[in-house]
Amino acid sequence: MAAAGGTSDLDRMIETLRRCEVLKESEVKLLCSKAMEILVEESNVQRIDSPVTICGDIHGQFYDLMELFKVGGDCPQTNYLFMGDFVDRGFYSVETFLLLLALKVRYPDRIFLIRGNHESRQITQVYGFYDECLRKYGSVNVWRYCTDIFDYLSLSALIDNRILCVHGGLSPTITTVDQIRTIDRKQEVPHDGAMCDLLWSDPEDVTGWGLSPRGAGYLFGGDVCQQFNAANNIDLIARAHQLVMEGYKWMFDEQLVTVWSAPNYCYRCGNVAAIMELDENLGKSFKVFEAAPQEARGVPAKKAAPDYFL
Amino acid sequence: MMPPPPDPPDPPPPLRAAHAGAFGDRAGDVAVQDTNDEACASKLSCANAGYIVDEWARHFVKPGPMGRVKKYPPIINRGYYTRVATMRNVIECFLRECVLPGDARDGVLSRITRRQIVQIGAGFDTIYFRLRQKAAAPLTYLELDYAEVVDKKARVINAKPELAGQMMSPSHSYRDDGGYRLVAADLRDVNSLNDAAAKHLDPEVPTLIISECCLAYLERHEAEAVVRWCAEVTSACEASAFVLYDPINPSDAFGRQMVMNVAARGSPLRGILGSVGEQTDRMSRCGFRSAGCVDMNETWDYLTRRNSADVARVVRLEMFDEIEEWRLIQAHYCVAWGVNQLDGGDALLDAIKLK
Repeated sequence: MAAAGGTSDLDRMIETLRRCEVLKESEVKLLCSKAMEILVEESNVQRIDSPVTICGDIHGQFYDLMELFKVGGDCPQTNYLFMGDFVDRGFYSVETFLLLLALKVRYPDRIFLIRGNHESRQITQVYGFYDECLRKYGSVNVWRYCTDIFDYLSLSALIDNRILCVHGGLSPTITTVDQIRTIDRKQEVPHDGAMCDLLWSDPEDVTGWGLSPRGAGYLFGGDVCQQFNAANNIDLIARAHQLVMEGYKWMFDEQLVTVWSAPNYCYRCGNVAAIMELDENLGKSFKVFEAAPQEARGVPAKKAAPDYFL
Repeated sequence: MMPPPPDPPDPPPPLRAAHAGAFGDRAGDVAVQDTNDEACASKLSCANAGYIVDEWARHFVKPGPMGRVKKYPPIINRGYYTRVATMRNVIECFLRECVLPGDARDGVLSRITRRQIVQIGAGFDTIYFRLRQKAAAPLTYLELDYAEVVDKKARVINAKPELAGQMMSPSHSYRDDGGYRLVAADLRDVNSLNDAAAKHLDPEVPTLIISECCLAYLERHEAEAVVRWCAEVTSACEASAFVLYDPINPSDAFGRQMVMNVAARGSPLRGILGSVGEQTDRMSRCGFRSAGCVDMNETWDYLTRRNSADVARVVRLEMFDEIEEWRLIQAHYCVAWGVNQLDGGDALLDAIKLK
């Protein structure tokens, strides 16, 4: 019998979560304490070697995450980087985040998770994760364990020193990758400043910087992106954060790419999703996939149907 | 600050095929009536979150366990705000501006008398109570809906003295001591509309007909007959108009998903039109002399100019991380209008947008 929190415990948790079943509260607590030990050692700019598959927002769409693994290969056979927004909006944020976290603890060098703007105490109280934890556990303890872990998630990743991956985008207060390394990230996502911008900003067809309609972060133009990439000797910024109906979108003369991995977002948007595969020479290929078939996710409850104006 | 705990989930309802039953089928009718409960709960959520003031909506929403009511996501609250603010602009403009040459154009809401408002598929809407409170109720405010809905609404009103006062009732038809008329009608049967008009409307009086999320549930030919009826019933008075709010654009990726999801609720959008152009064409084809339509992105952009202070207030109410989705969903709803004056209803159109 392995010690509590050992490999066999972890494998059992992973199997439970793969069936889209929740862990016991005590198991979540144990998993989170193990995860904290690993994540605390990661840099704000986590170094990753290719080959790796880059994924965008998941948002609690558990069965679509299973589709993603079908299309991209299972972990640990495929290396993964998930660029945040694991939770909120979908029905299975608890199972989705805990599965990714359990895989992280089990295979710490095979899967990397960086923080999205939804990995936040404040925003999860608006967009569903808080309510889901309360509904599934009858208390907010699991929400507390998870949001405490959010504070330890890295802010970005650098692949082979050539591709910078971040959830949202750039910040006017950040001109070098080294400046990202100096942020004290172990806190709730602030309302402004460098850490906030990395998680909230969007690329846009503007020159320089613009105000974001989201009320946090900035809009940044192709000139800003080009200067940043040149100054830091990188080829590409890969980011997530914005729904793109085709699953991925190049911008700024292929200096930036948006990757979106939540098909039929919110069970409402009708979009396809994508992942970006990087081979050992940083050759890029995209795999586009659709939402899991209806039978895979069971009968949709009427109360769980997406909202419209009726 | 912690939000209140949510309602426990309801057990899933029995499976119902997307196209269960032709229209006229009980289950289909009940599902369409259920959209009224949902709309009312959404408007209450919108009010509770501070977007609009509606002190009456709560009377029509059955609270969950421990008196909790559903909180809708910010995108839905903001969408209902856009719709309610636009309809309020339209109604206030109509009451203030749409007058006959002989009438005093005093511009004071409280002195308005010779106006009629007809709300088709009114459900549990609360527009009338608001007008009544502002002493701006028109001569006649006629609501038409299914008999079941009308009966339920009358029961609620009779139980709550703060609403409209007691409703007096010869079967399925109610009236208060003022101009409020709550009348059962089946929109698929134009005769029932004609009966209501003959009993309750004066064809010579300026009339505004409004309809929110109603015609798209009918078959196209049934909806067309209703629009034609609207044009006819207002044709004797040029200062009249019909303004509707409905879903559109069923053919793109978002629209296809919307049609499937709404059908899965048991209330398919049988008569949804393809575009703002089709909305305009239908109004013209059915007899309105001047017609138009804008999607709700345009309406929102217009509100941000026309009601800029209020929009600035509401965009600060909730964290809003649904920008792309917001533009998508708003592109799939519209406001369409038909008016009887060729050059007419300028102020009214100004309230919707345009000009």
